[in-house]
Amino acid sequence: MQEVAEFIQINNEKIFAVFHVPEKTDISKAFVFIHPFAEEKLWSHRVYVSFARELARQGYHVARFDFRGHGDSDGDFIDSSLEKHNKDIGTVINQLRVKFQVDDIGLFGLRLGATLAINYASSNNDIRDIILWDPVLKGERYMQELLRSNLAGQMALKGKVEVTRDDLVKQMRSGIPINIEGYFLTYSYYSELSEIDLQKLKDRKSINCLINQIVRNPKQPQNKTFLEFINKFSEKSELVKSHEEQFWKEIKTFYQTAENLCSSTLSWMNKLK
Amino acid sequence: MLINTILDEQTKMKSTPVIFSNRNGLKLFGILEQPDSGAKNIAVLLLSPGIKMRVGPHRMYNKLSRVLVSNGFTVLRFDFYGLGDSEGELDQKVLVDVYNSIQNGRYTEDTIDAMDWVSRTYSIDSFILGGLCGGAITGMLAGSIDNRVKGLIALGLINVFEGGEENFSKFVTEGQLDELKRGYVSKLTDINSWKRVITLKSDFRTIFKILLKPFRVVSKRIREKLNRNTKKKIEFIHDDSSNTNPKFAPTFFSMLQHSRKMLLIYSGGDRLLWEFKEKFESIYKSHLSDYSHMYDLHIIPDANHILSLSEWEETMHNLVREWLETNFRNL
Repeated sequence: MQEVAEFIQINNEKIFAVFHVPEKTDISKAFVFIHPFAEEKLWSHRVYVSFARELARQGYHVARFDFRGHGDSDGDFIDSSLEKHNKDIGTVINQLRVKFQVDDIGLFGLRLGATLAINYASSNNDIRDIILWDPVLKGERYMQELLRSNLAGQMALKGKVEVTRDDLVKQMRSGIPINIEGYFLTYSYYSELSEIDLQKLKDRKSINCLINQIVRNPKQPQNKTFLEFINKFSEKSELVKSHEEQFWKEIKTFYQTAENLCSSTLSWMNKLK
Repeated sequence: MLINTILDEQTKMKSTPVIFSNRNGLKLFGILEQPDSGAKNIAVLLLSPGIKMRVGPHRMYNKLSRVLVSNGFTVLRFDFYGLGDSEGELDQKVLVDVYNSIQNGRYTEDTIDAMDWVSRTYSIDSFILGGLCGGAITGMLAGSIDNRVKGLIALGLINVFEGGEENFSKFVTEGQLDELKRGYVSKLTDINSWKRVITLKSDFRTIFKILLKPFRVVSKRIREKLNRNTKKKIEFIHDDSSNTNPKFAPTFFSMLQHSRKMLLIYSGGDRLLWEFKEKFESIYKSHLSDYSHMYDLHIIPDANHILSLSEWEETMHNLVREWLETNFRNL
């Protein structure tokens, strides 16, 4: 198994990517890993690395990369946009095809990374499989979470909330980005993400989709919205639950792998073979 | 087009993904960044903070690296074993245990191995180590035993082990208590706060500690007076019931005695400042005065641990620039 780290040039900027190459394989399939938002990317990074290495052990090619404005890629977070994200995903897919001659490419993502995976797949007909770990289906709700984290930051710093959620939105609208744990969110990016409502997505019966719902309590029922959403995809699509903690945040447990998520995902992938 | 080394025309910075092995054969991953021309004969190693790998919180290390490269330094940001994209696994299951193992020197050898690799590959034999929190203490531990290290950029240098929430009242600093006291006073008219007191939900151990502060102040003054009278030979004090890292004081003085320049930057709103001041600086005040020319301590007012506002980060960049200009201009 080999890991190749390289920069890919795109419009005078560079994207950082790591390619996981299996030793010998009769699987001609690759997955592109799409990372979650801002600090969630850093907290979940090691789980992504472990899962990529496991897939490579199983014979899959994997490409992990940093969106422009994230990690080791060029650009600033403040310039993020959905259009750029889609271009970055497309660029990495092309490199994977050119470099390793793999045509069958699937997408994997966690949280907002999963959302961006569906967003890309819905406008590109060449994606057959998508693996979604706890996808964000409603962008607006997720943006509210982000605004809450700004309020929590104000509380920690000043002992009170001086700028309310509405005022934060007004601030962005007036052209002043807001600070989410050191990342600057503009109104245009905020609006783009808020407008995402995957429940309105048209059926995509050509895509095999796995939704892996992360539950902190194994007795937690299946998410009804996920159940409805999975019906938009092929018959091989499935909603499963995996018992894990919220490893994309700072939690007490040190997460190197998400074993339950990995094993349930691999068993679905094995069914697809 | 896939490229190994890439030059940014705007910043004139060359970036190269690199892989090297540590002494245990584990492959460590990093990004080497250099000026396009005129690099100084000294490299800066930015050491991962906690588990947040080579980019740091909100890409702090990438931004700091640009500042360093624009000042002529070669920079290596890399992942310690078990973190980021490097090989290896950690035994710890709890995050606090990982943090404490780092503070105890888990990554000292990886840091030395990284210097060995840079020396071999780029013929650079002088280093400045830098980092935030766990990265800063790793830099100090490695710097105190490796003569190639000429300086340390320490952001939020941590001198205590993490005790966890359950031990909060045991290890709380006077600075934290003052903050809490202000909070408690402001809630004196809040009925819900009194409900917490009546239903015994309040943290009484911490409240008692606040009330007993005047007695501790008197006893501290007596101790300081005694310390002044017994000056010169440094006796490192370690109380087993304290959360202070016993390696901190000897290592700090070792850095000073070996003429390693240190830039210490603390955030005004970070408990680590109080930890440093109360559990190190005030104890060794008389000895530190002999070395005041060897280290610069700056506090960025109100800032948080990760310097999340751009003005805080900019202040940090300026402090780093000035310190490098003063101490490493001719290398």
